[in-house]
Amino acid sequence: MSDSFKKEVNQIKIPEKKLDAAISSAIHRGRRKRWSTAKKAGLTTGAAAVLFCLFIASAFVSPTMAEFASKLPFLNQVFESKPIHEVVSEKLSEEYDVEGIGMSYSPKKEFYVTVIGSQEYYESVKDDIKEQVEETLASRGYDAFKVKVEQPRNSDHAVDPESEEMARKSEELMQAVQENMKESDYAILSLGTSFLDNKLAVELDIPNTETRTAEIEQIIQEIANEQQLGEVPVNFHMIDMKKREQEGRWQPIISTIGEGMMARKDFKVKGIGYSNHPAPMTVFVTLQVPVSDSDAKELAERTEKTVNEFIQSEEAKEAVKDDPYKIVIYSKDREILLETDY
Amino acid sequence: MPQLSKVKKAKRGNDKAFQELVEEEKNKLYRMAYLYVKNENDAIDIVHETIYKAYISIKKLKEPDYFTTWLTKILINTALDYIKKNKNIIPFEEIERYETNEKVPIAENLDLVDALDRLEEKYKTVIILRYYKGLQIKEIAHMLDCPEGTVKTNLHRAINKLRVDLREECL
Repeated sequence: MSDSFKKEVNQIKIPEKKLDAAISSAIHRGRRKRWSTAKKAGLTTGAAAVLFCLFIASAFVSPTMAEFASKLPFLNQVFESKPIHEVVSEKLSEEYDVEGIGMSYSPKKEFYVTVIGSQEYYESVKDDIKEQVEETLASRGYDAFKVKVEQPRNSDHAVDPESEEMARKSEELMQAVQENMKESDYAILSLGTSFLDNKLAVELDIPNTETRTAEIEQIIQEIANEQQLGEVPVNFHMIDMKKREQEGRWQPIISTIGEGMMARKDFKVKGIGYSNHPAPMTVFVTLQVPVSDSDAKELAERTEKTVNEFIQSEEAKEAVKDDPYKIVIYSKDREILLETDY
Repeated sequence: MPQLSKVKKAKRGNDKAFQELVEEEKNKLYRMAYLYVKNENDAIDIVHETIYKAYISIKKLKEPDYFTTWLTKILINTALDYIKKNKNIIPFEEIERYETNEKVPIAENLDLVDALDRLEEKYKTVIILRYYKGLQIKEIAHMLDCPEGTVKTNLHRAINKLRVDLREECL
């Protein structure tokens, strides 16, 4: 069998010219490919070398750069860079019709992108967008987020006439109050209304140094009477201005800790919070491990160290000033693992 | 061994050595490809793809002694991929041929080759390797990454099918 088969196969005619042409074109194609890969590699090493040289040069020149080179802790890197959602949003809007992006920490760590346009458009870009967002996240070392690309939800829920009426009423009241307050010297931080059981109420944020609450309440009630709104209760929220100022200063610090700690799987962080009531400013970190976990204690110490290193760093100094603060680390089941005052 | 030194040269990126090696193998490669697809153009395409793949990856060839085996393996995989990709496409010439019921002679007296065409891909492969390339069962098993037992079974089944087929034709 072997011989006759071989003989038969060898009778298959060879289209020599075509075959030679196919082979030489294959080698040609291969050469191009080899060259392009080599070129790319060359360029990358070249670019890396240039960057490296620059880096070394600048490290000699600038002490700040040298510090950066020695070691910039992760949270400080996050602090120095733009918030991730801004970066992603800018990148995507260059190329795609994106309505909005969102980031959620709980119940799951997710990154949403909402795409406008037809179903076909959505289908055609969703994978590319997902890939690009994932790349951007990865370039910062963020690996905890799941990326979701969605279409906008239909949000044309019917507005019932009753609440429309309420909204109109409150709008009128607010305008009148605002006009009136402009002429007075009452320190009012913010003004709003609320509905509870279909009853309108006025919400006022005022500094806790403002003592004329009764007067303000009376003025508002008069305006309400003019508009035939009946009795409108006024709720005062006394704001400690010092605390508010402190909150404002700490805001970027807290959001940096939030973004940085949540974005990486290895930190195992479930939630971040803060409060300065009662003093001092307290940063809460909730871990993803229960208190029963054998590593919980160690992880808590590590987390505390990372957060504290950042708060005490030179970059955070401007925001933190000399405020006393406290770091509290919770386990998943809300047991306190670590509590330190500074 | 002249071939061995050529393979080593080719591995280092010497195009001339690579071309010479291919020159020695090209007819066999073409005929194997032809056995899979049974038409000139497709066979040429498969050879082209095979040479291209070999050219860009020859650096990764670990044992220069096995150049021919390695090249054959690439060809088989390329041919199988090619068939898979084109499974649902019937070329125009073919449709015409079905209609006119006219046989295009590829060469005289190729009963066995014709019969081979009616076999499944996996049977074709073992027959080609065993009887055209003259490889041992062990070598075939190594090349296809499967146990020797499987190769033997497939070979037996392939031969039996060919026998039945050819006998019917004689009647």
